[in-house]
Amino acid sequence: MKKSIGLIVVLGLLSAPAVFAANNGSGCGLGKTLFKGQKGMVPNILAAIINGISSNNVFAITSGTSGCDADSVILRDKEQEVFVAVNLDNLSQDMAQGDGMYLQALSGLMGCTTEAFGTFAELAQDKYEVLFDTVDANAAGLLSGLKRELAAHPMLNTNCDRIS
Amino acid sequence: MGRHASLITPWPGSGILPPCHWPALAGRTAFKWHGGALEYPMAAPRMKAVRAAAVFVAVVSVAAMAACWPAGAAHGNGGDKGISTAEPRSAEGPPHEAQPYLRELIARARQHRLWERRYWHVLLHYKADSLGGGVTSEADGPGFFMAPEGQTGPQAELEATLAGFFSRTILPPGGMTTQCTFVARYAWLEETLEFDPAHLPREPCERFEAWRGGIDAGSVTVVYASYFLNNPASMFGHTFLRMDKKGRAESQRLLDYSISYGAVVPEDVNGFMFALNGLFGGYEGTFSILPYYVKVKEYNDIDNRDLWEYRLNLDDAQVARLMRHTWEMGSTYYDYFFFKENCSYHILSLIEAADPTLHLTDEFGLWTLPTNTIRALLAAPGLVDTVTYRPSRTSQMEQKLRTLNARQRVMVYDIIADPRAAEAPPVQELPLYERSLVLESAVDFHQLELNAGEEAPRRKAAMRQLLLARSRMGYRRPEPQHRPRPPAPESGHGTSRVFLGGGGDNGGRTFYEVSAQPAFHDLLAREQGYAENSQINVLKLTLRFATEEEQARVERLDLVDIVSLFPVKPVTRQFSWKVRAGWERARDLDCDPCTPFVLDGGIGLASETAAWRREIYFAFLESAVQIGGAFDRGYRAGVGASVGALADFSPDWRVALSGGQTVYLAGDGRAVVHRAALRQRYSLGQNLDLRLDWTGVDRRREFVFGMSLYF
Repeated sequence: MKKSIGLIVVLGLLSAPAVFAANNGSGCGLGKTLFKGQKGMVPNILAAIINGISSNNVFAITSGTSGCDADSVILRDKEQEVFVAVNLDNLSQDMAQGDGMYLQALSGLMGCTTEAFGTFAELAQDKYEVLFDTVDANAAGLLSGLKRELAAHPMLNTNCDRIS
Repeated sequence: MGRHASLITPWPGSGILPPCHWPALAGRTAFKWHGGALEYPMAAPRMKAVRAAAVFVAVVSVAAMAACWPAGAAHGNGGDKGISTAEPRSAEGPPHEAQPYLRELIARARQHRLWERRYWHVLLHYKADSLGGGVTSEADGPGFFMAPEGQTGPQAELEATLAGFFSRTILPPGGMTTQCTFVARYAWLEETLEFDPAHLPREPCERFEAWRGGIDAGSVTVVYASYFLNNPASMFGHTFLRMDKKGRAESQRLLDYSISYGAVVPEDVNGFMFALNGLFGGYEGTFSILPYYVKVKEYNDIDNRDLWEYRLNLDDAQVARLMRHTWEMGSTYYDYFFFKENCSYHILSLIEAADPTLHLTDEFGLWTLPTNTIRALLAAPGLVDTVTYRPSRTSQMEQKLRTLNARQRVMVYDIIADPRAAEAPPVQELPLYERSLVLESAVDFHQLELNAGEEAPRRKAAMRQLLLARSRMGYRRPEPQHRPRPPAPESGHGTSRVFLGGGGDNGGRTFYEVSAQPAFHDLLAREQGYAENSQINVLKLTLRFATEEEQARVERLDLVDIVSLFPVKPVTRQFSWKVRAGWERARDLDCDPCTPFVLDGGIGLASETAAWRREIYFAFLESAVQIGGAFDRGYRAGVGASVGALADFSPDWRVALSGGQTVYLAGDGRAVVHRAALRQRYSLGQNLDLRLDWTGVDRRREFVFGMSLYF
């Protein structure tokens, strides 16, 4: 499953090539090591007593050198997109619940004040059906839908400043 | 420790290498020839000739190295294997006369012997050699060193770094100048030597500044990912750093960046090579930077591991130093050694770069266990500020289920089986609080199953239905006042153990027994701070001294001995498993003593009850292989079964009863072996317990009584 998550993130990011801090990015590191989460007991046991091996080295991006052009800091105008893409399922649960740390982080990315979070969460829960209108709702759809709702909300459209 | 001869191609125009490197270079080339001759098909006579030549060169070079060693060691101060008074090398070649300021800086550096300062050693990751008076850097990538002998020569490295600051040459692999590659070294040398900007202008390092500004760290948190035994690769825990952005609300920490050290593992690696390479430095380890939410997803959701966040008390200057040194780490890799130079070790080295008065890595000689690095942090006065617990998805679900009563839990299972039950009376009639918990628990379960890679379309549809129902409640559950927290990882018994005791058997023999292991935890030990129902013994040696024979014998040497019990619960069904490899004195054979090599594995089921306090029952199907001279055919192999139970009669008293039978079918002829054991542990404190074991194998019965000490 690690591999699937890795693939989802990689594919999502590849569709936004300039995600990372601007460089003539070879985009190196993306997909450099997708550790194959080996299913089955025997390979796992043999691989057992090794820890600290980052099994989800989706980016394997270092601090900028080592032959890699990308510098690991996500471009500001892609932050929302990447966050939602990676955390879609957690967000959907938080929004249905009207609370949660993923929802809090999203409100921060939308530039909402912390005082406005309660209202933000209520809106998210209220509009859940609209925002997740299909089983395969995707990040882009959710993001644009949410921004639309925020822009239309009398209080939130002034308390959240990254919704355009 | 990654200390192969640093055979870096000499910088162009740098002149002659110091004496010991030539033989080392020759030796390594000879080794490659030898290996190459084995790899590439060649006509047999030619192959033999190449190999013979390689061996000859290797022998000569070893002799030459032995001869030059004293000469090499006599050079330089402080273990500098190199020329200490010659001109420094710059990236461009021999130094120019037109840089008198460089000479001045070097003279001042020599006057103060700056290369002996602790901070220089921290930045370059120099560690004292066990033999000889020198140091060697743990960094293994040549891009980390400005001087050819930089890996072992602090002085040469410092002077070459100073020279590099004057140069605009772009350094591979980062594509930046020296000043902007080694920003921490620059900052320290600039402050210590008080650079005059008129003679050594400071370059604007835009890439570094952009990166630093993007992360904008105000404080640093060490994050510990706890064990989860379903993934054996995570049995000892893991640590990484989180850079907490200034001014960010605590509730939004997911958005911070994390710095983690790990090995770069190729995709199609088989388990055995993975283990071998990981243990012996076959992989390169690098630092990677990812948003914390990616790590939380990886650990909390996919691996189902709890996260513990230890915020450190570091001031702005210290955080700035850590950031600079992390940037420098991008220029190198470290050979990844599971036992010692693993994730936790390198995280400690970054913290030392922030505050060099801390000596965190010193206490980790042969091995580094993540929990012990947490203990080291907690032991440093005032270093750890607050500790926050972030439960895994499994922990969250279990917490919700515990809040519900039995009847409500049944509703959860019904909803899991059929989401339409969420719209039906029993659930609909629940008060909002309980109803929200019921729906969310079912959603958690589906998410866990999805994360494990099962049944996507049906589950996704079910989840969506449940989430819609949840959202339609229009209800936000208030946070509980008190969030229960499991015992912190550092609260468990020490990771190493020594056992002293004695016993006797039904043959009238008595003996003393001593055992020692560097890691980690067995089924009978007190569980606080460790994964439940688990056992991991690594390199456990048990010796016996029979009183009449006055001789010590190896009773048992476990290389690995792992047992993972997963009690079957209505929502989680997993197999329990166990594996053991090592030597054990056989008690059912005619030869005695003989200690064949033993390889056992088992798969089974476990269940948990709370009849008294807590009981675990388990049953295994097993395979067993024994290899040794005691067998006519050299080995025997068979299958078997065992059952057993673990019970806690009080918080300090645990009892384990087990029995089994193995039928050996292959190898040496048929044999049937019966085993039974009753083991008990009584805790006297966090790090002390008493043990009493009765064991029997066929007709041999013995008991052992003694004390375990953890440290």
